[in-house]
Amino acid sequence: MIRIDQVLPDGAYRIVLSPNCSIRWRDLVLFYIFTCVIALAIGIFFTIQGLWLVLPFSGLEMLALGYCLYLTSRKVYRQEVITLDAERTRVEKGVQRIDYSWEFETPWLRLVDESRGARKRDRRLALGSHGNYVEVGDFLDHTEKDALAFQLKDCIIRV
Amino acid sequence: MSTEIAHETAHDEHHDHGPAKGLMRWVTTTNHKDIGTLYLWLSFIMLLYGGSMAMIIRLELFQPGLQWVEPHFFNQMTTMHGLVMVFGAIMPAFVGLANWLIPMMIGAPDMALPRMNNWSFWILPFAFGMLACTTFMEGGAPAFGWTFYAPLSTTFAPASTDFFIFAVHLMGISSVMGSINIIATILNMRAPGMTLMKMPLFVWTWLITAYLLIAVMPVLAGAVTMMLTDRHFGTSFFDAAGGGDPVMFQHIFWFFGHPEVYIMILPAFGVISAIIPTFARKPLFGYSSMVYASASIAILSFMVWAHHMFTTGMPVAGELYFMYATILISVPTGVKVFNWVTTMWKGSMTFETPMLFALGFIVMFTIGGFSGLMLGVAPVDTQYHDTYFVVAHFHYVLVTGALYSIIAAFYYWVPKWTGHMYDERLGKIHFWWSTIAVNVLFFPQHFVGLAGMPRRIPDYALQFAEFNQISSIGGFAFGLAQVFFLYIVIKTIRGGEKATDRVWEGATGLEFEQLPSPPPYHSFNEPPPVK
Repeated sequence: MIRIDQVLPDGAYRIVLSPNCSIRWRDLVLFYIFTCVIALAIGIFFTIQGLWLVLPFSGLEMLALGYCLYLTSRKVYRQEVITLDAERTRVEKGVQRIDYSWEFETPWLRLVDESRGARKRDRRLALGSHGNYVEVGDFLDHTEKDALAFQLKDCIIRV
Repeated sequence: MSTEIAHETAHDEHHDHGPAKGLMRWVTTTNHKDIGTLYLWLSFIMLLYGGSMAMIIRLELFQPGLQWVEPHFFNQMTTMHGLVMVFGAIMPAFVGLANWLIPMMIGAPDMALPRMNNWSFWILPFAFGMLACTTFMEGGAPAFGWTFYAPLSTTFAPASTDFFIFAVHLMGISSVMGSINIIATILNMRAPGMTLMKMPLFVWTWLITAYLLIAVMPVLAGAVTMMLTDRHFGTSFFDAAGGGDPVMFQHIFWFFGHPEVYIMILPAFGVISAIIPTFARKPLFGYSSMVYASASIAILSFMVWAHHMFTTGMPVAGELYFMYATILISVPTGVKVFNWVTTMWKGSMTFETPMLFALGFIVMFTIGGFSGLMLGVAPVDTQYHDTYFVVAHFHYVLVTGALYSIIAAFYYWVPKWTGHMYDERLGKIHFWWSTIAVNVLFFPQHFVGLAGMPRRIPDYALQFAEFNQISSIGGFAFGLAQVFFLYIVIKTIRGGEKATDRVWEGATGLEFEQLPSPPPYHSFNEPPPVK
């Protein structure tokens, strides 16, 4: 998903990229709670019957499921923010906070748009200058990459 | 805020690398296709291993009297055959199919947790290796049946039972990790536009299956742990002398065991729902009703477990409840069979090997379903319980049901996986050979069962001799047919006519429409468009 903001009167642009999210966080939490209720209900049912050793396994399993769902949804909630102004271009990547960032001088900025691999299926966009490039939007689909390439070129020309 | 200069360049990253070379590729791989292949090979090896035990069983039963093996060894064979086929052949085969197909079907680059995927596979060879080793231990392998009822599996069990318990724990851990992975992949990694109600039915059925596994695996783990503590730590969960209840073991086992039956058949429904529309050249009839029917079957599977225990002596109200609940399952199952038949109605049908196996599935699984209905009727079950009628019933469900769908899936998707078409003539020979043999093998077991021959016995009354001989001949022929299948598998992998990208004229789905045959090592580096 691509979101473009024109930031402030200085004419800077901000492009926010995020991967496709096939389930909302709220729905995922609901799914997890529902699964916990089922699994723990079964565990408690057998505990009432005197077979209490089912319950610890249910608990352990729900912890594992919760951790794994959290881990995978973190990947989905990552973002890339590209901020361009006349002087500097900043690329930031992270989940809920900035984990990595790169800065380039906008006048020297280049956009690399290349297709590789079998049947040129693997299209990659990279921003950078002076031999240092950082790939952007690797999680976007082909149409979104088209749009991103167009927007980046447009922004670079405008600023 | 830290600022760093990027040292890597766009050219330094290697997104389109192929597989590593050598043996370590298979040990360390995190690629869903590699892991799917490993699962499928393991399940084939286990099929041949469990099948060889079936051959010993049928050899012994060829004639009345004790011919080849001692009764205790015979019991070990029936136990290990059941365990290996359920946990080693059918379940891993479906997990293998899930690994190969789910990411390609939903447009994901790989499974959500690739390293865990690797672990969940590599636990299994050790679990089955350990289980197989019990045959050579003092006292022999477990001989208490795949249902491992207490006190046979506690007070009277051989020392090797502890290894069996550990092996079951390992299989359970593997299944849970696999299920978590499948749930996380399907929920989080669908391509844009791939809504839940656009997912192929194979994906849907696997999502429901994974949920079932998550729900029942702790019950199995708890059951075998309580067996262990009863054996060694002085507890009496299942020991009446200490205040426990052996019948509770049957309850706990079948609370796991009955959903387990649906764990082994729901993905088969998904496979058949993919194959029938392709060769009927029509869209699947009643897609949403298929989804709801699968979910209904899964929910009902939790409510019917005690139909396996009608003869333990339960109140009439209990018998009535479990009888009606069991018969209720035939409604959503009937919806499925109706939808498959309606999909074929007035379709432009052709009968390639996958379609033949799918049709074989529908006809023979329905036979197994009908005999299941008979067994679900409490007063009738009192007569049939623990006879060969039950053996015939569950083999029609699991062999001509689950196994046939796995073989159908192989023929349907192998051109996509390898880029080679299988030999159609050999495939058809395999189908007819298997289908004739499997009916010669299992159909007479209905008759000997109705006539009163009990299951799990190495010797029998003279009156059952003819049907048992026919059954054994069918068994040997069916076993040989699967060795022939191994030849077809190897031949197809090694070469053959080049498959087109779409493979089948009527095939639909991302794996056929968006990927070449064979697909690249990493299927989707970017999400594909979904119609």
